Amino acid sequence: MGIQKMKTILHGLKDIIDTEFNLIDDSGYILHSTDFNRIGSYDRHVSALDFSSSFIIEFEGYIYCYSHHQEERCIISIKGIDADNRRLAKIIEVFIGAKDMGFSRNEFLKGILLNTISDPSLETLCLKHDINPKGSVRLLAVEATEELMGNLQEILTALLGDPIVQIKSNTYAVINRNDDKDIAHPAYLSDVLATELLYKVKIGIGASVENVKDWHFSLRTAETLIELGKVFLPEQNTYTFKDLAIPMLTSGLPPQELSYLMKHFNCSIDKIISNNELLVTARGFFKNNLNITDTSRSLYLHRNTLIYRLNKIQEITGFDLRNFNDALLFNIMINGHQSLKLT
Amino acid sequence: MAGLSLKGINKLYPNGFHAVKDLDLEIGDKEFIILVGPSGCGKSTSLRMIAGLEEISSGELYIDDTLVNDVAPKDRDIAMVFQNYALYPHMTVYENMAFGLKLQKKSREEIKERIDIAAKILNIAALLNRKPKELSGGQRQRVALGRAIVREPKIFLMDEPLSNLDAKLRLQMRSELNKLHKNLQTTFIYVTHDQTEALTMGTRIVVMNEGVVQQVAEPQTIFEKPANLFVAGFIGSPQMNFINCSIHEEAGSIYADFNNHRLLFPTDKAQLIKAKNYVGKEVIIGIRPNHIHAIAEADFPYESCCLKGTVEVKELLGTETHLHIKADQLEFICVVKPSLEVQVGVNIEIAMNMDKCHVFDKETEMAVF
Ligand SMILES: Nc1ncnc2c1ncn2[C@@H]1O[C@H](COP(=O)(O)OP(=O)(O)OP(=O)(O)O)[C@@H](O)[C@H]1O
Ligand SMILES: [Mg+2]
Repeated sequence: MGIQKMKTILHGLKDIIDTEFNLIDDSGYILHSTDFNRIGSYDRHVSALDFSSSFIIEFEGYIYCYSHHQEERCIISIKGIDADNRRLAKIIEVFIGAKDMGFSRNEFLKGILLNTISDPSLETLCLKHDINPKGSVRLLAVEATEELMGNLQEILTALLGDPIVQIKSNTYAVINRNDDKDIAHPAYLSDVLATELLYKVKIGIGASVENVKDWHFSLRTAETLIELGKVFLPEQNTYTFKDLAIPMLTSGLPPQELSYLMKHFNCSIDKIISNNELLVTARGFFKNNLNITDTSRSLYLHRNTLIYRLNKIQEITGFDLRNFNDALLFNIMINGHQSLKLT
Repeated sequence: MAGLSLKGINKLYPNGFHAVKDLDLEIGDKEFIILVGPSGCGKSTSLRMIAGLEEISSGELYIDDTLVNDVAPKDRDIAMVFQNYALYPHMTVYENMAFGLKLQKKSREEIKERIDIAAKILNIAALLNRKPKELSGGQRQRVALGRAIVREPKIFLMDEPLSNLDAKLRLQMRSELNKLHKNLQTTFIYVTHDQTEALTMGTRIVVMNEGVVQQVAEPQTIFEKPANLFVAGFIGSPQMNFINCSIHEEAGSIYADFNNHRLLFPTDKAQLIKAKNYVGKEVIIGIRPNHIHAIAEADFPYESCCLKGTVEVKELLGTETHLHIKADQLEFICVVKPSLEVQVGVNIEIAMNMDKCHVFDKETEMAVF
């Protein structure tokens, strides 16, 4: 509800109810009043009002109702604290709230996710919108193509029951509550979406956060994971921190430092990257937790062939992948190489 | 109903990885074809190229004689079933199956008709009003299949759809899928890394390794006449035994020699070896574990192909027992009857049934026979 509209309503109320109403902005400036003398003056009580736990506050003979619109925040005050006025305040709150729901729950969520709402009473605003601002939440970024967005939204809604907000022309954010065990696991999502849409939808699973103030951070991590994942793990469609921790670190380093680090090890990593056979062997070995037996079974390599290849990798790079530390460094080199290529 | 034709198909991923190499394959209408091979061999990539989820780098893909390289997945008349499926938790079975069709804007009558048919085929007609929570694992899986069936695709593409199920359910679903294929009379293309699944399900099997097709044949042929060493080793459980040998001729007989042993080839095999010029050459002999016998229980003579060894591992599997035997620095696995009394650590004499042996060229690893 815009301020202009409020003014009109206030004006109309004056003829029906014989009490003083004021429309006040954040700073206490009285924008409009049934008492014309008050317009343009300041209500010095306003600075003392804390709307973080309730939108209706009784203070110094007035009832204050907080109207929480993103662009136009304002307060309505009613003179006189009695049962009638209390009821009136409630009614006003309902109208403000109802209007809000229809027009901006989605806009409001989007504001939270894009971090464009800097309201100290964000948590209360959430409650008003029937959003729980607390509790463990992680944002999922779900990326498809523009023409699939309609169907994608329907599927996500049907599958998850979580709030879904479009944040880009080809991306939805899903506000996923970790404690909700009933819903499909995000890892299932990409298969289900691929089945329904016949498209490889990419999904980033953001960091878990505890407060609505950090939701935008979680979303940003989810989006970053997709960006990195497409480059570093193109064969996957769902990305978590666990998959991409090393690429995140290497891409986060200043290129100069990274290339210094790479030079320090001088490990001819490019020779591995250009050798499909060795690269696949190394990846398979990591996937199988550096276990020779499991790796040879899953890649269907003879044990001796696998060992021969691991030795060859050691010959070329100096890293013995059977050794945890070497395996870690090797991984950092592989990802570092890719990161440098990106810059 | 559709046949497919894959001509010289390659997949080169943007990062330079050559995942599928020169794939040539003719798939007949109503076939149930299985792509099988170890992890990373390019099975899923091939399937995704057929679906259109992955671009074909080079080569041609025809569905029913129409070139579809540039046809969008949704226009290829396919349905996909993956390993991970999830039903819409708040919808009934009926609504779950209707969902995809509603997205396609099908009419209510048509949706109902299709669901009725699918439900009958899958034997879930009585469950249509239930929610997923009220279904067993097997029933859920069938509903998931139902969602693919109601699309009435020309081709079903399945990527390891059973690998998340427990062993018992997997077994049950295998036979259900076989039945389903018979009922639907549609082309199935099915990816698995599990050779048992491959042997029990398909009408034909495509064995792949490192992006290259190794053999395409019916299950029995794949098992009995593996085209090369890879197929021989990959298909069959427990794995085929391999022995590096050199071939010699002595007094008209053909022998395979290794370490201090010699195995006599039966006449028909001996003739093949001579005819193919393998006398004096190095080969690899393959024998399946059920063709190596413990002398103690064998009821026919194998004098000229016996070995003495020590039992290292004994695996009781109920209907049969597997012995891992170390003989002359080589390890053999053989299948014996559970009634045979042997303990780990004892010496045992085993014999190879050379009538059943395979011979592979040591260099090319191709089957000689
Ligand atoms: N988008 C991609 N970009 C780069 N490489 C990829 C991509 N997708 C798959 N690969 C690689 O191509 C090879 C074949 O992958 P594919 O998924 O086809 O294997 P698969 O036979 O299905 O194996 P699995 O049994 O493990 O599923 C693998 O080495 C894989 O890492
Ligand atoms: Mg696969």
